[in-house]
Parts: sequence; structure tokens; C-alpha cells
Amino acid sequence: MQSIELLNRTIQENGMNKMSDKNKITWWVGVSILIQSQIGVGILSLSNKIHPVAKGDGWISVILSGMIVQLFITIIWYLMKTNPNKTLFEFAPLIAGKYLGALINISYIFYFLSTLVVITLLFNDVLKRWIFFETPNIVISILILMLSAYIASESLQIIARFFSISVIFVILLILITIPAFSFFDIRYILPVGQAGVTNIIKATHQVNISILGFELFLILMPFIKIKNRKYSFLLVGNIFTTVIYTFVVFTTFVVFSPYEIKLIIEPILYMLKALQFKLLDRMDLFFLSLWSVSVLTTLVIYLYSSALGISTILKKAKHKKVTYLIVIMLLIIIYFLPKDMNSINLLAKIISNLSYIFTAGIPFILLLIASLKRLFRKKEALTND
Amino acid sequence: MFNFLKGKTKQKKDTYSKSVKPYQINSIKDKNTTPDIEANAEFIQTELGKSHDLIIKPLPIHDKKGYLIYFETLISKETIENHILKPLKKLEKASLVINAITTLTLKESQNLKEVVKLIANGYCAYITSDNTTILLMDVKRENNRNVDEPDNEQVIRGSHIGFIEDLSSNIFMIRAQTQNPKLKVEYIELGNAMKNKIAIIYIENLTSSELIKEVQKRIKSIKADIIQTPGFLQEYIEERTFSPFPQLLNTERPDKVVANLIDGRIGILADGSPTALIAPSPFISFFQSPDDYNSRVLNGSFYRLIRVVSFFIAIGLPSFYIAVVSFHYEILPVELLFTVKSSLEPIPIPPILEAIFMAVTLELIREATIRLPSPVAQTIGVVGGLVIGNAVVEANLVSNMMIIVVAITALATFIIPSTEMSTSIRLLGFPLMISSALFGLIGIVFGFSIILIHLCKLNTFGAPYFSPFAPLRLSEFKDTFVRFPTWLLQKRPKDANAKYRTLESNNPREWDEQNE
Repeated sequence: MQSIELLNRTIQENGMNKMSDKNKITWWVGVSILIQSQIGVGILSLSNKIHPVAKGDGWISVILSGMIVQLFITIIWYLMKTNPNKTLFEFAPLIAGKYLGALINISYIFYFLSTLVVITLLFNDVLKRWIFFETPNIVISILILMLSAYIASESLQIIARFFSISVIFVILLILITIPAFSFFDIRYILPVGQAGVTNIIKATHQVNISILGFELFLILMPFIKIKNRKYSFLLVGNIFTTVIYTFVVFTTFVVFSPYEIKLIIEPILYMLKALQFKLLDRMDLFFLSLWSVSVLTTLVIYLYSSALGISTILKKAKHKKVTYLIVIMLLIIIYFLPKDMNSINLLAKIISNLSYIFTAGIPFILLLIASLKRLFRKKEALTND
Repeated sequence: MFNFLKGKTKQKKDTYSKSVKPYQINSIKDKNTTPDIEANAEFIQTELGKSHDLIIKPLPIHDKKGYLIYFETLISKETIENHILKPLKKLEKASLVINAITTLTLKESQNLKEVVKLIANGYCAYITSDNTTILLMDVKRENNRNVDEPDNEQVIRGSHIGFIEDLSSNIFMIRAQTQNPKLKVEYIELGNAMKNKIAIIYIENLTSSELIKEVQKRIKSIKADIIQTPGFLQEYIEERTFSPFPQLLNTERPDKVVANLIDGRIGILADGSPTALIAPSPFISFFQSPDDYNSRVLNGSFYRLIRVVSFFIAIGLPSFYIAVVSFHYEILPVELLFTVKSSLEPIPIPPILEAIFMAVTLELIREATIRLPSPVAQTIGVVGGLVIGNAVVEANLVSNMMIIVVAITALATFIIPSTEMSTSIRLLGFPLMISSALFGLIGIVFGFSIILIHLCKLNTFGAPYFSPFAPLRLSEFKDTFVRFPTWLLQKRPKDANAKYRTLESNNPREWDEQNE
């Protein structure tokens, strides 16, 4: 028994040495990373997607989905507690065995990379329809992916610095939408509960896939300072995100009539487009500009995680080159992918359905295996004594 | 009333905290002289931090050992020669030393603490082996050279004194202002083909020893034929030379250097140059001016805000204008659109070229006025600014709006107190203009993100450059966008990592009962 513990400790220490920027990030940065990885492309078209299912009760689905996500986060939290100093890529082989662990790692990396592709495509799609009607898709992709690689290639400490300040953009994003309440009509969402419980629960699926990003804490958790690594930051971050999403959905629901929402893909942008001030019009353009920072932060954190995964598998200490290689590879893939609405939506649908496996399925199974292992080990220790 | 802003203080009400921290003037150990002359000299030397400008000159009289101790940067050589050395050389065996010395102020002391304090004040101490009384002569140098206010860093309130080209005079100004015996000066000679003396100045027991080591290491490792000015030095020791942002603050103001030294930073001076470098210098320090602290709180805060706004105007206004008129004219409401459009109508060239043309013209005028003697420079300013500006609009080459935008931008850049930072910001305007001409508002956002990311990446002597914004340190926001009253600025900024972060007592306004 002692020798195993000693081995574990040495492995842990080696791990600590290799990833020197572990255990360095504060509570507040943890919250801001969670918020900004969750808020991304999805926020624009969420209302349009949930309205057909949940009608005027969509905002209840958002709150419900926040709770479901909190459950997933709790699973991840307990899983991360079993190996406090390791990322998923480091502890998956320890829990699930060498080969299965490697399979899990590779599938996670593929999941992250495909999420990156989907986010970039959706971002392109929105920009193409709202601002850059003629610009080739690949130009925007190069811009945003290169920009994310510029920061994702640094250590997480520096990424954290950027995230702790870019939260301001999320707050500005919400502040911009507040004037829209001048078109407020509460009758659009009345009576509450019109869609029925089943539909409300069904609609949570759409919210769940927009609110993704918490699964990255499978990788990021060990980077947070041990004394700051409390459940509260996951709770606060998720509540903040849920409140923002609820606010956005609620606003669009009370501003647009049920018939309008069906027709409009990005209700929030249309809502802002109608706003007029004395000095500035077209608030939607400002919203899109701020929103692109939110997309950027989501991309950065996914890119960092996948680069970290690949460099862990390849046993490289630095992930800088890997990050740029990933970006070049993604750009090539994006260049050859079809870019019409339908195929993007299909791809997004596949990835988002798969996401349940990665956000809840695998973590839960791993947690189960880890706790069973611990149980057996305890029993073994007891019998040995 | 503002107690909650001061942050938590662990100690209870006990104000005028009695403990003296080792960097403060009163921290010198109270000790009387011993008959052992070497021990006395040793004590003085250690208490003065073994500073390199402390001179201990052996001056035996009639076979008795004697030491003359003084700071060479504080004293006047002539006074020592004429009033101390000369009379002592002629001294007859029977007469007393004290009767021979002819300086105006002459003190005697048996307390080494007093001696150390007075040496830091410009006195010269004379210890002899047969006597426990130490003679102290006031030989402080007069400021005989006319010291002007630096032209590039003028203030309305505050001292109007600036550094000059002579290193020891500059150190004299710093020593005379602080009068702290713990102020330490270290000399390093640099340059293989041309020797130059570099002085590292800091307050011992306050400045973090890692920082001192890092600065020493970087300076000592320089291998160059010539290090003429701090400008040369800066490029050798800053982290990223190709970054547009200066990572060391250049200043010609002694008061600025002293304030930074008390914050636990290090000053670097070079002989032959009136510029001092401050390490580490975070981003925000380039926007702070002594004026802010010398004027009232609200006024100081107001000007801080103006400077922050001016930063955004300087970096973003031309690109925003370009984005609006060439990309998103729908942002403007109809009434405003007519005004803008009527001025833009007759202009054949795209806004980006207009902007670059005007910005370059402005740089030409600026550069031309620097090189010329000031009366001619004014003429150039009038010719360049008024005549060209007017003619260019009448010739329909540049729109009126663009002239307004470029002029406001130019004004905004000149508001920033540091010349280096203001130039950097003007320089950054150009790529932003291009990106906004290419991608509109999204281009600006991406450009700003690149700048922001770059700022987050930068370090200055191991400290994050963009602190307190990233990493977020809310308690240090007190001295950024606004300036809180100085008695609320109780903590030193974390970037310098000073050994003692909190200043002075819990309630600096002891008389004010309501505040407690």
C-alpha cells in the first residue's frame, strides 16, 4: 500500500513540475472563465430555437436548464476532486486504464476541435448575414482563429488576465439590450405555463447546448489555486450565465410577438436594430462587435484545452506550436466544409447531441469507476489489516 | 465616513503605530559611540546601506587615526577642501581639531543615530580614534547650477525642478528630497568602448530583494560598446523591445522618482543624461502625473478621467470615424448623416487615405517644430496647422469632419503625460485605422482585442504590465481612473512587490474623530 501511495505522490509531483502554471488562478478568474466559456454563439438565436417548443415559457426552460447544467457541473466537481492536481488528459488513463483512457482523451480532443469548427462556422454565418455580405468566409475564420491562437498559445495565467478584464464585454452586452424594454409587452408570455411541463423540459435541450462550456473545467480545474478551488465559483458563474440567458430570452419574448419570433433567427439583433437614439442608430452593430469578443473568449478557452490535450498526449511541455498547428488544421477543414445554412445546422446538431456524452456521460462513468476503485481499495486495505 | 474604502485593517484603533519599519528614517538603531573607531565607522556604513556614494576617507592627524565620512553626492567638495582639509593640514599638535575647522555649522555628537541622520542630510562626519565625540560639519552643496523644469513634463502645481546632465547632482536632488539614510545608491560602470556610470537607486529594506537582483542582473549582463543614455539602457533591460508600449517609465522629474522609490520601485540614472528610468512601470503609471496629487482630489480625479478618455480617443476616434463613414453609415441617425455626408460629398479619396494623409501631415508639423528654434517653430505651427488645414479643405482633398477628428485625436495624444506612451499610442492608431477600413467595427474590436491581449501578455520586471486591470486588483483601482485622497492610498501597488505594502498608521487623519 505504502509503495502505491509513494508512487502516486511522485506522479503527482512530476505532474506539478511539468505544468508549472497549475494552482495559480484566483476565484474571480475562475468565475469569469466559466461565464465566458458558457456565453458564446448560442446567445443570438436561442429564443428563436426554443420558442417553437416551449412557446412563451421558454424562459422557464432556461432556468431549468441552468439547474441541469449545475448538476453536470457537480459531477465534474466531484470527479475533479478525485485527482486534484491533474487535468482530465492526465487522470483519464489512471482511472480508465491505459487504452481506454487514451481513447477518452482523443475523443475529447476531437470533441473540442469539432466544437471549435462549429463555433467558427456559426460566427461566420452570423457575420455574413449581418455585416460582411461579400467577404469570403475564410477571411473571417482566419481573423478570429488567429486572434484566439495569439492568446491561447500563452500560459493559462496570461489567458486568465485577459479573461478577468474581458468580462466587461459581457456586462456591456447586457447593458446595451436594456433600452429595448421600451417595447415591453408582458401579454406575449402570458399565460405562464401555456406550453405544458413536457414541452418546457423538452426545450431545455436547446438551452443546454447553448450553455455548454462548463465541461472545460475537466481540464482547467487544477489551474485554480487550491485555497480558491471552492464549489462556490462554479455555482456563481453558472448562476450568472443562467441569469443572463434568462434575461435575453425573456426580453426577446416580451418584445416580439410569438408570430414574429418564429420568423426571426436572431431576435435580439432585430430588437436592437429597431432602437433609435439621438446620436447613434443600429445598436445591433455594437452588440455584434461586443458579442464577437464573447465568441473569441469561447474559442480561446476551447483552443487552449485542445492544445493542452494534444501536448499532454505528445508529452510536450509547451503548447505554443501545437496551438498554431491546430489553427492551421482547422482553417483547412473550414475551407473545405460546405457553408450553407443547412449543413452548418446539421453539423451543429450532431456535435450538440454528442455533447451530452462529453459533458455528463463520460465524467459520470469516470466518477463511478474512480469511486468504485477507491471503495475496493479501502476494502482491500481493511482485509489486509 | 470612507472607512470601508480603506480595506480591512487587522490592528485595532491604536493609531500612530509605534513600530518603525526598517526602511523609515527613524529606523536607525539608537547607539552611542564606542572608543573603537573601526566599529563606529562600520556601524555608520551598515546603517547607510553601504551605498556606493558614501565615502569614508582616512584622514589621520598626528598619527591618530581619523575618518572623514560623507556622501559625495550631497556635499560640496570645495567646502570640505577649504574649511576642513586645509585647516587640518596646518593643525599644530597642541591645538584641538574643533577649533581649526571653519565651517559655519559645526556640531558635536556622541549619538551614532544622530550622526547617521545628519550624514544623510548633507553633513560630513569626522571621527578620530582618541575621541568618542564625533564632529559634524554642514558641507551640503548649494544648487549653484540653474535647475530648470523639464520642458516635456511641466506641471502647474508641484516642484519645478528637473534633472540635469550631471549624475551626482541628480542623486543630490533625490537625496536632498528624501533625506532617508536608507536610500541606497549603487554604481555600475558600463560600456566597452565608452565608459559610463550607471546608478541604481532604491530604498533599502523596502524594495523587494528579488527586484533589486533582477535589475542588477540585467544591467550587469549588458555587453555593449556604448551605453550613452538611459535610452540605450532601456532597450537592453526591458522585456520586449519590439512592443509598442514602453516598459520603463522615463522621467526628468526628481519628485516623480522619489515618489516611485517610496513605492518600492527602483530608479536608474546614467551620467550625462537628465532622464531617469523607473522599474517596474506598469501601464497606468504612464498616465499619472505629479499634478494629480498636488491638486485637489476632485480636480485630480477629473484630470485622470480626462486622460483615460483621451487614451481611447487617441487610439480609437479616427478608426471609429473611418468605420462609420466607410462601412456602417447606418449607425448615424438621418439628421447627423446629412451633416457628415455634405462635408464628405466633394472628397474624391477614401476616408482611410484622408486620415492617413492628415495624420502624417500632423506628424510632419510636430517633428518640424521640435527641430527648430522656438520662435520659428511657432511660425511653422501656424503655417502648417492653419494654412495647410484650411487650404486642404478648400481644395476638396480632405473633409472638414476629418480635420476635426484628426485635430481632436492629436490633442488627445498630447494630454498623456509620458512622451513615450503618447507616441506609442499615436503609432497604434495607424494599424487600427487600416483594420477599421477593412472590417469596420468588427475590425476595431479585433484590433482592440489584439492590443488588450498584448497588454495582458506584457511583463515589466516580472510584474504584470497591465495590472491592476489584468490581473484584476480592485483595491488598486483607487489610483487609476480616479485618484482617491492620499490618506486613503494606504497600500503600495503590488507590482513592485515592496517588503512593506501598507503605509504608516491606521488613521492618518488622527485629528478627525468622525473618520474613525
